[in-house]
Amino acid sequence: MRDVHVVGTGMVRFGRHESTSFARLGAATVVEALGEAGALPRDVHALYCGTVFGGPTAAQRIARECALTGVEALNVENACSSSASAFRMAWLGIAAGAFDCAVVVGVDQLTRLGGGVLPLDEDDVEASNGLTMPALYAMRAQRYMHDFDLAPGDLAAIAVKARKHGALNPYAQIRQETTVDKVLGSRPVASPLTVQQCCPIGDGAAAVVLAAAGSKLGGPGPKVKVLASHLTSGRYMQGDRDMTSPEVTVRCARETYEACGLGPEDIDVVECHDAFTIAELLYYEALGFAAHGEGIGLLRNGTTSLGGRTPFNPSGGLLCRGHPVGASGTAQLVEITRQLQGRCDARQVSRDGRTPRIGLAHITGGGTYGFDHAACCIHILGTESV
Amino acid sequence: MNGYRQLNSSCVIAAGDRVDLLAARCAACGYFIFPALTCCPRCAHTHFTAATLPRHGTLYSYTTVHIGPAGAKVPYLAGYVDLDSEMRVFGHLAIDEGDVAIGMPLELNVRSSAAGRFEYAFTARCVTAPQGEGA
Repeated sequence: MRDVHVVGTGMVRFGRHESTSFARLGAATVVEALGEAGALPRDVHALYCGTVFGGPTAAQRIARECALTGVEALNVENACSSSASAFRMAWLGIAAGAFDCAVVVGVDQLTRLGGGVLPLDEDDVEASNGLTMPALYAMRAQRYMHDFDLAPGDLAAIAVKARKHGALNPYAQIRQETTVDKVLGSRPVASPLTVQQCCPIGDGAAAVVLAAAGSKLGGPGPKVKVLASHLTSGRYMQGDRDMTSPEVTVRCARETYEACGLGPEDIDVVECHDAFTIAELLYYEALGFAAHGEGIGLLRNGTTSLGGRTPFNPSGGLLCRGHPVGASGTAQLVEITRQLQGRCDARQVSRDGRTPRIGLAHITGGGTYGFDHAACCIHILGTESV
Repeated sequence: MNGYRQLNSSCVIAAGDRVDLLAARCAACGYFIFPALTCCPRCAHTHFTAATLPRHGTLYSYTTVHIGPAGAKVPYLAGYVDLDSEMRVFGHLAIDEGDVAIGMPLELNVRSSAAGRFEYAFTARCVTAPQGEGA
């Protein structure tokens, strides 16, 4: 397999973009990423688009906007993991030698859905009886608090941390700080989760250009290499499962670390799937940064805050950057790439006084019965000095 | 009592005044699933025997939903109930929020809501299920 580099990134601030067409929203980020890479349309051999609600042939509609027609184009739907999965497909094609350069774009416009919780499959035995994504995470939270003796304020502290990071990120949908009392006093969504503990509804897009090592393409800062790319799906389990230990992420993380020979101790910065406050706590543990039941310690001692040993979600994460579902995977990879290149200004992660060298992006999702989640995708990126 | 979509008569087994939810047991390995699938998730066998969901269980976790699916009446209390070691079922909890506790014993009640339509919910104590209308 050939080494693959992220040679360009593009992103719009997440928020309300309902007056911009889906294709133009995506195209803006593709054009930015191509410009950063110094790539012309003729340099691009493939285009992969991750979207959940973007409708048929999203990649081709974006391609038409930015002079990328006539290339191999593929649309990837994998719930919240859609554009991370698209990134993996592009990585696989380049690593295998099928082509040398690909663009990956993630886009969604949730404001067009009319508000409320994400629609789920009406044929699903749980969704048809009233299960929602906030309700699913809320039940994990309720059980976690019961098993490990946490209070609602412990979960609220995760939102406070996310808001501190998001306030520093010009790309974040929510940039206002908050307090534990404000989090707990905000509108209830699914107890114990309040609205400030849930990712907002918004629109957004993010794109990257990937190229085979040795390519003339490349933007500012050190070269960023894909050190690991792993995608898996949920394993069917209807009973006898611990919902405080997310099966698909635990397994995906273990397989990712085994494949690249790295472990949590090697990671300088993480973007994880914090769709709800409880999620970040579960994923500290599932990604191997804390033992089961001990994740809250990382928050309390500052390990996962900016300035700590391993900051999680310096972007503000899904909670603050926002979560237009199909866009979040590439948005995480844009953030990790820019962090490793030292380009993140006020929210820049520093490790022992230097720019971070290895970052991890984790995204999971898909609410369908019998699974922890339908999909989980983890990427580890590193600078060439690794 | 049960969200915005109801079960039809192919989802239940009714006998006398009892209505149970139809589940499936793998004919080869005995794995218990709800609802039936094309292949057994454990051994990939394609033959199943009809089974019913147990009526008694304990509450694994719960939430009060304040923002529900489109059309659902809120708030409602819902949770995951362990009916035995290998079967956890999500459903509405027809109990007061102040009485709910992880580990509490619950009973699965299926009732006919209209001709050929059924709904289910979990209650804290035994109640007599209403007459089913045939399966």
